[in-house]
Amino acid sequence: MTPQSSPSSSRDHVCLVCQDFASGYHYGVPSCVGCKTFFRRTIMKKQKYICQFEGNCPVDKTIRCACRYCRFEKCLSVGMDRNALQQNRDPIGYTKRTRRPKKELKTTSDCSSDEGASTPPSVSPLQLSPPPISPLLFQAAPLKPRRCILQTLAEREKCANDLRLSEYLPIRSLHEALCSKALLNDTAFLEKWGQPSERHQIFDLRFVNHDDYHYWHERDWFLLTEYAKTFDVFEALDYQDKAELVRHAAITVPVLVQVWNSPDYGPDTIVFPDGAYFDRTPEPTRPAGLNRKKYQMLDLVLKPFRDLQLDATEFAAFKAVTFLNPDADISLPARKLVNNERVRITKQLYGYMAMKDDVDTAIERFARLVLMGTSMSKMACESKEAVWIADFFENIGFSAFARQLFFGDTTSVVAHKL
Amino acid sequence: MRFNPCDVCLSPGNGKHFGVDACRGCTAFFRRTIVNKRNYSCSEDDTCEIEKSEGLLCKKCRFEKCLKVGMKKESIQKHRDIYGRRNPENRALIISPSTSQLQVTIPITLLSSVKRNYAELENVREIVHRMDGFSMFLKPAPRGQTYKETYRLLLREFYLVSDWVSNCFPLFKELPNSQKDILLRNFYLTFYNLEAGFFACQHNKIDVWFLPNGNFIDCQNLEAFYYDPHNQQPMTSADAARLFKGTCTECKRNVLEPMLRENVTQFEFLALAALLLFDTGLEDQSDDCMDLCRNVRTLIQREMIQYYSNKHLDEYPLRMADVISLIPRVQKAAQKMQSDMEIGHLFNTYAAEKSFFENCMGKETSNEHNPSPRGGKFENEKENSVFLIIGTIIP
Repeated sequence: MTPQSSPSSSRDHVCLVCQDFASGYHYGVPSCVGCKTFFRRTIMKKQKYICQFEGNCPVDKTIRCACRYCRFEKCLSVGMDRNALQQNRDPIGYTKRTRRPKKELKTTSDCSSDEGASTPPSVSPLQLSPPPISPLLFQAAPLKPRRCILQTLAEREKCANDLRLSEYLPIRSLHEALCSKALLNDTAFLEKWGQPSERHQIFDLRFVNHDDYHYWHERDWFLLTEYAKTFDVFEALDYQDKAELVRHAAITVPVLVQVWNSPDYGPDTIVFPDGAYFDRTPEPTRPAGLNRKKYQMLDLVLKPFRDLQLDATEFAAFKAVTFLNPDADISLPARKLVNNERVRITKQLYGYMAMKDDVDTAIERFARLVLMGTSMSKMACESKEAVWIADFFENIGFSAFARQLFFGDTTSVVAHKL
Repeated sequence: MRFNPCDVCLSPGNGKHFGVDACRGCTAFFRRTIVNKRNYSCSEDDTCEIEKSEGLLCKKCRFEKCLKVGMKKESIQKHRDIYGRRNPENRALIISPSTSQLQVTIPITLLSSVKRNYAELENVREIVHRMDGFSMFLKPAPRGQTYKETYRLLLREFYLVSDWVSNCFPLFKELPNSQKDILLRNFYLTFYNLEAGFFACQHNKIDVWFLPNGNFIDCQNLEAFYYDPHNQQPMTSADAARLFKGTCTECKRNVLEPMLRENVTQFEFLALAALLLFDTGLEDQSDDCMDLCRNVRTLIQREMIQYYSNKHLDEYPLRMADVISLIPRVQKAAQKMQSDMEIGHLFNTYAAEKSFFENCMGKETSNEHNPSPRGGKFENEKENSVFLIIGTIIP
């Protein structure tokens, strides 16, 4: 702490606020310890003062405590700069250094020392009126630090999988799905419905049929809408952008979920939770485009996933990055929002990988994951064409929800068919 | 332990900091000034004597004294000297610079070969594309091209790019000819779009589409591109410009703008080209071909990592992620271009010649009387080379 004695220099050594001896330059002007602390405390605590008179009370070292409004105004008028406060160096409250001076200052009756303590200021004999009433202060509690977003994503992924294995599957429109409350954030709902269904257990493996594909894709599309609503950036979009973002992810995110949750029954086999599986066996009755998507799942997603040995957190982050794709046909402001969130998660993911492995392995795994993302983007474009063709030739009976998801609002088409 | 006095304020020192003897106060002051990017001003005439002041140090003169006695800004460690609230999210990104360097270094042989061959390709382009009565020693000014000139250029470029690809990648040569054609057809228009983005970075322009011969397509004036002076086409230039402007729009949005924003270097451009050539999951691609492509992609990826590590970039994996993420966007633009070309071919309006579709895109023309073979470049012309191309062009 700087000594209160006057330093031997050619500068002004008088406090510009109260004409007491200055202890140095504080907030840009020569000032004494009392005035500079008063200024800092006023700024940090966001205090407002009221003058009982006309706002021009005299302020000097004998009566500077009388009217705090005029004292603060004089601090500002002589040039104290509130921007010079250093938020992380100027805490308010007792620290190790200020605890002892508080005890010592209590024993003195000097007027200037009262400012150093938290006791209310005494009225100077020159003033005949009571001191101003300062407003009640509510110092905000320090903000709880934000949890690492990767942890949030990993927990969300677990809830999503619990819901996937349950038997809950609502029948509703895409608009209702995207505008209703997020079920994954509803703990009461998850406690009620988060139990695995008896159907979703693997007793025997059987080759997949048309109904299996239909069943699991409907479940995964339902979960995609619930997953989307858990992102704050998604909730900030308008409905058109929401629908487009979900539509863009309707191929890639279910593929990731199906590959990730498939138990390992061999290098070329994907198993659904009820034991239905598919491998490289040809399926002639299925549309060619969707068969092609099957091979792409095995070659471009399943094989790299097994090679990379991802853990649950890495998968959750990669899924989020895949979902938040700014290349969707969304508006320009929405694209910026989505891209910023995507970059944030990508940084977190790389940081996590760098902590988990040595640097060489982390960088290589990160690069391979990014490269895999580009393959998935291309697969999504081709599969979208296949979906259009399949629907045109009525090879697949899409539900109303799936039709709205892929083709937009086609109420007239449905009415026409009816 | 005794320390030398502070070189800045002559107080008792605290050892060497940022390269000079300094006390804790001046050390923290200097670091805080740099990290928080503070600017100070002197109330006197910038001649305060720091060592004679007690408690009245002028910030500007103190900082100038720190610099004068030799404190180095580069010695401040960016990731460790963070002021303000310590956000747990940022903790994951606090990586010491020493750990960002790769422990094992590999030579960048494959992409260096690609770079050398790209220089050769550019030399050959100057010869091949300057055969229309221009002097080989005078460089003509860039000008806008029409669709006929561009299609002719595209056909010539196809042979040049084929040879370039074969010379760059010995592994590509080992593939069966049918697999080579599959990779090359998937690659060619994508590379054409990707290179347009690289040219945009070189010229710092995105409103024109630069071509390999130095000329450009004026995207703001597509009617000049679809110039039809003899009214041979079934629709007007204005209609064609309206119908096909999606190709330019997609290329500008998905290739030129993001590549210019990222300021993609030549090395990055060539790495992306290699990743686009050795694609996986293509139709009719054999398992052996897919395995080879996967291995080459892994090798290219490692060489990219080594390249960024050699450049000592901060957080270069994120830079690499940004660059690699350009791949689906380039593919999307190429897909739009191919779709528009097929529409033009189907309706026979401002279409490329049949030889272009047969060779570059592997499409069969609907000529029933003279069915052409579906094979591509490598199956039809096994002994092709640059010199044969020049030989056929000169007369």
